[in-house]
Amino acid sequence: MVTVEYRIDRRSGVPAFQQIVQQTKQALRLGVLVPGDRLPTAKEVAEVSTVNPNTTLKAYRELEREGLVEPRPGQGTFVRRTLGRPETGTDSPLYGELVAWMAKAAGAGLEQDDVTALVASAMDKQYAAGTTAATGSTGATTTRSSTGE
Amino acid sequence: MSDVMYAGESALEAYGLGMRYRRGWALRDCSFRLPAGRICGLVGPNGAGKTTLLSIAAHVLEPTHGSLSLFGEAPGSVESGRRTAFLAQEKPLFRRFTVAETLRLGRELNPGWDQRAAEDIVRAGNVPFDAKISTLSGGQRTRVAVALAFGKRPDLLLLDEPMSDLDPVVRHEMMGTLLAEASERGTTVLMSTHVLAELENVCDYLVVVSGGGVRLAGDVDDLMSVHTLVTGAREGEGLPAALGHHTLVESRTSGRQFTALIRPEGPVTGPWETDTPNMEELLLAYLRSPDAPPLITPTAQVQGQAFGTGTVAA
Amino acid sequence: MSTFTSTSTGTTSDGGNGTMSATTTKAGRRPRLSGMTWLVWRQHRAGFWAILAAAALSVAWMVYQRGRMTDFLDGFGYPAKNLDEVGAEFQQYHDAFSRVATGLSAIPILLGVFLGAPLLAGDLENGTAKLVAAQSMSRTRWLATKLALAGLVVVVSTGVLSAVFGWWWNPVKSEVTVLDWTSAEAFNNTGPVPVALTLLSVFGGVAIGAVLRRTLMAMVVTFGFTVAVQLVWSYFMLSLGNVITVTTNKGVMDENSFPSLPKAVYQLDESYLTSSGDLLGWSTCSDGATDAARELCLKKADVVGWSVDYLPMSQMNGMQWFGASILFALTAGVAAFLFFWGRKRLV
Repeated sequence: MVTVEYRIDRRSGVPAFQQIVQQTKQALRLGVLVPGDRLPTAKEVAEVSTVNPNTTLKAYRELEREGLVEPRPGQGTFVRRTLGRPETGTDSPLYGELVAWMAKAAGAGLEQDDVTALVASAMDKQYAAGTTAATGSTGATTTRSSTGE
Repeated sequence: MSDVMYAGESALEAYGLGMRYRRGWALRDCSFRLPAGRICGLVGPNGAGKTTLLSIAAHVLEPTHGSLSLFGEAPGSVESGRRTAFLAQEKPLFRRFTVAETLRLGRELNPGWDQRAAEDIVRAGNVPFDAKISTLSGGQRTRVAVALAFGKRPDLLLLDEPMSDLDPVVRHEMMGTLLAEASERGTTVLMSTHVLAELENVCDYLVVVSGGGVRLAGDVDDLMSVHTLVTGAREGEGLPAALGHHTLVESRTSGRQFTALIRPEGPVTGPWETDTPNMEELLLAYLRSPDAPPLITPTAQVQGQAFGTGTVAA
Repeated sequence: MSTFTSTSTGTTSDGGNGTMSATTTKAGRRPRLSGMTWLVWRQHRAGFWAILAAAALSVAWMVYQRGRMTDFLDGFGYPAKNLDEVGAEFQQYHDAFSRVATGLSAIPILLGVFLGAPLLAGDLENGTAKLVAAQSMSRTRWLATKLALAGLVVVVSTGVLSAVFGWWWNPVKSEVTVLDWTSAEAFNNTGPVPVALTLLSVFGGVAIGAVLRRTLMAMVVTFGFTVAVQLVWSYFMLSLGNVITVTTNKGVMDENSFPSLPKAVYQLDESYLTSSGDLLGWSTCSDGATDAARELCLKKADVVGWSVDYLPMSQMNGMQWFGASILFALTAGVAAFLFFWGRKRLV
């Protein structure tokens, strides 16, 4: 059972190992990965996403360094702690408010690009110090696609 | 810097390798090193000498100049014969044999044969064991040929354009299989191709051969870190003077803009945008500019290789 | 999932669905080939079986023909009665020999072109030579196994055909009218000769194929080679023997003056012998009108008797083995060339 499938955007300019790190963190935030889940082996990632196994291992080492995963010899790499907060799940009230706002915006005639621009501008205002490493578009694609079975 | 996970053993070392025919040189004075455990892309235009290089490594051809060693042994020796597997461009198989008989060929002719591993690769592609090779599609035949290669449990796998004549879905599948098997066994892979887009994220080592010589060799991470893509307002033809002291690989102008791939010799300051090239941009630049000074990173140099061939300060 | 089903009688690995067993599918009924021998046999088995089957059919045909012939001869009363008296009745049996002999003479050419030429050329042309070379066995071993198996098939089939043909010919061997022992039909199809001719033709074809690396071209060139071998052989065939010269001194006019020769000899030359040992053609003095005139002419020429050169049939065996050994030596030379030349180039 593969817990998560990584989608590498080869054109984004972001190194593959970094995309894997980000997508893993995204999955942790959304609760797709929980502590105790086994990450796919480098071989599995190689077979499914045609990514060099060393790249996957590099990403996992980075995640281990941040204390998010731990390797268990002979068994694989396992999630250690979650990044998710109750507020960040899809069942949180904040998410519900976001969905309601989206509906309102669509009702007012806003296109998806308009919404993106508004959201980006609001984000910049709020997080002016700059916390996310990814550029806006990459973040969006990985959110959409990093949900595995 | 590159994360050198493997011991410093060399899978392949070429010393001044040359192949001369009556009509010219297919390879000339090629020296480089491929450390064990890498997945290496051998890139170059058609006729550049990729097939020649692989054929020499596979002991199909004898070089006219220089030498090549595989794990320290000559290509014709018993030792390197056992540790190396070769898949020629035409992916030869006996057309009247069944798949099962083809695998039996591997079992009968190789002492260290892993029947289970070979069968697993064939089975993973849903290829029937009792089908004759001539009835299989190109992708299925490639899969059988790859199974034959991996069943030998090689330490070095030489592939000459393995993905040619395969449709995109099969290509993706085969590349996945290749990577998975290689990672499981720690096989070093040297794979020639002229489809650059496929290499991104697959290869962690590159060798560019153009016009019979080695233009670029080394770990992908090392190579990326020493190159910078510079764009800015153009000042006449070619590179702006302020950038003149850096090593130029390729520069192009269009309209009022110039784009250049350089190997910086110091900080790049000035009114331009700098960026790290992706693999395809890097390879294209070297392929388009055969006169650019070659770069062989220290990991890719063989002992005694002259420093003048363009080193990078590691 | 795999659709392969194993029908072997004994499995060594687990018989799980789709797993190939380690033993052959006909385990127990056939000797198990392994290694390079298996590969060479499997690759060429259609050709090998065709050759062996054709040989078996020909043997059956010859056995049948011999049976018919001996039945006839027994009925006729041979060898008590002379075969010259049989006349036209024997013609069909005579023709049977000719037809089969013609077929047998084609064997070196056919096998050279269809077995020898493609043996290596096929692999070199379509790249399977690279496939075999990429496995762990040496090219020399591949070459040796190919030559050994092809050679074995050739020796077995031509040897059996030669033996059976000789056995068929045996009852009427001394009858020159049936089959002259010096004719190509008899000489080239009995004893070791057909084996040696075919082996040289086949190995020559293999070498030509290895050098040219193209099957069709190799077959054409090998055809030329095998025909040339036949021509050269037929030209030098009789010089393999030791010519025997018998002389008389009873003059040449008398009917009994001609020396009596053993049965079924091949006469090479007959000449008049002078007292000084010189030879004169037998047409000398034949233009005399009367016997007396001729006698005078002969006396003047000092002719004392006949000198006849011939090869007795007793030499046939020796000649065949002598010639065959030359051919075998040439074949060994071709094989040696293949090993030395092929070490680097058989891929």
